[in-house]
Formats: sequence, structure tokens, C-alpha cells
Amino acid sequence: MDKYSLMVPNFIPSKEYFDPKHSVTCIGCGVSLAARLVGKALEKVLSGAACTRSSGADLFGVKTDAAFMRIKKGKAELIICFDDEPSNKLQDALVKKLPAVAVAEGIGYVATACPSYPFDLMEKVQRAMDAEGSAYIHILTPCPAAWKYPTEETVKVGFKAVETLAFPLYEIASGFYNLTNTTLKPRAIEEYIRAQGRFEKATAAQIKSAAATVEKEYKKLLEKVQPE
Amino acid sequence: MKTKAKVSSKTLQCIAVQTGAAKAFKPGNRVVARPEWDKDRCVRCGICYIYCPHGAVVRQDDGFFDVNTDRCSGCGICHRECWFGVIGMVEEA
Repeated sequence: MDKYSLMVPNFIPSKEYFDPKHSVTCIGCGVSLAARLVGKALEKVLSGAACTRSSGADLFGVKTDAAFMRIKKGKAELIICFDDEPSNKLQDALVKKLPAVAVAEGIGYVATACPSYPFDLMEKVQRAMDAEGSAYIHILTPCPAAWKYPTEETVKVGFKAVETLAFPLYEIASGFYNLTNTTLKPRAIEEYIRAQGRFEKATAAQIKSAAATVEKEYKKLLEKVQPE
Repeated sequence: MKTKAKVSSKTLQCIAVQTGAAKAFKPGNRVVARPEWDKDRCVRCGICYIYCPHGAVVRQDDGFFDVNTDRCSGCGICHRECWFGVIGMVEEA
């Protein structure tokens, strides 16, 4: 069995760089999972707890309530945004402005990631550290307390966000768009919305318009992805 | 001293109201249930290890996994994500 088994932990460092004791994290916290994976990818202890957030923080001239982390790399810096959608609005859950703003700011490496795809996330963090100039990574971190779903569903909700195309995973390296996760048969957006208790009161009309928004946003993204 | 702060559910989320109030506790102190592995059926893939938010799943020398009770908060992600249904959640007494 030892000869043939595929041991996942063999591909990642076994040391834990993230200590939940130092930052207040809930049960089944998505931010905690993302911060732990980022720590493993960087192989150093992250200074500043991931869960500290200041409301109305200024990021590229856009005010956000999401927690974000700045890591120095040479003269430039790597900015990681842990987006758990504190506004709790349906529109904010479907359209992410910050990656587009970061591209407009002229940042060399921009990527979106989700802790449900751990190797994808860690690869992106490593690529961001290797890239020249500043880098920005937008991580969607499901939050069981605010999104109102059972604590064990954190990873599954992340899968749903990506598979319904509400949060497509892509990276932009020096102007070239690259989809890192292609969903051949996307699920209906209703699955993602109904999985969360905070959108319990969403009507059928709202879900219909949400599906239209997601399709429009994804088409916009596909147009930017250059063919080989 | 007790302080009664007006906190709306929108702003609170996962921020402690009083600073330093939870210092005496470890994440493992508030646990309702803990994972337990069925070693006869476990294939030692390590999915539970990689998805644990607090890094509570520890790999032992024989390749099987166990829980670090100081870190485990009993969320049940490992139980939900295990492909073979090997992990059960056992309620704490």
C-alpha cells in the first residue's frame, strides 16, 4: 500500500506556520484555512493576524471591509485580500471589482483563488512571489457565521462558488489572462445562493437576474482570455 | 467590568467584542465533537490534513492521522470531505 498510495501531505511542507491561538477565528473559518495555506506556500510565519480588519480600509482607492494582508518582497509587495463578503449583498457576491481595479492600477500579477482548491492557491502565491513588481491575490473565503451555513460545509460552498461560475478562478500575468479552472458543465447559480442562509429571502426573480449577471461577467472574462 | 455594546450582526461576524477576553482559552476548549479515524478503511490520502482550517490534523509515524486536541475546534470539515467516509465525529462528554 505504501508503494502505491498518493500521499497528499508529501507535496506540501509539514510545518504549521499559522497558529489559530494568536488570531480569533471561528469554528470552520475559511479565512483561517486560506491563511494557513498561504503560510505553507510562503514557508514563513505571517506577521499580523489574518482576521484583523479595519472597516472602510482603502485598497487601490476602493473602500472595502474585507481583511487584507501585505507581505514585503524586495521593493514591491504582495497584497492578499481575504474576501468573505462582509456587505452581505447579493450583488457583491456575484461581481468582484477589486481584481479588475488591480489590473487597471498596473499590477503585474493578479489572481483569484479559493481555499477549496488548495494546490491552485499555493501555486498562485508562489508565482506571485516570483513575479516582478507588486502582486495581488483575491481569495474568496466562505464564512459560516455570516453566510449562515453549517460549519462543515465551508469547502463545499467554495466548490459551489467556483462551479456555478460566480467566482471563476483565473490569473493575469503581464497582461495575459489565463483560466486556471475550467468548468465544463457549470451548475445553476441557484445551488450557490440556496446553500447560504443569508440569501434565504431571495426571490425567484432575483435569482434569474443573478444568473444573467454571472453569465455576462463570465462572457466578459472569456473575451479577455486570449486563444493560444 | 461589563460593557453593553450595541453590536449589529452585520459588523460583528467574527470579531471579539472585548479585547483579551478569550486569551485564557485555546481553540480546542470550546469543542462539541471531535473526529475519529477508522484505521481499517483509511487509505492515508491526507485530504483531511490539507483541508483542516486550524492545522489540527497530525500525521503520525505509521502514516495514519490523528487529531491535536489543542487546535481542533470541531468544525467537521474533515468528516465532510473524506472521500471514503472514514472519519466520524464523536461527541465530547
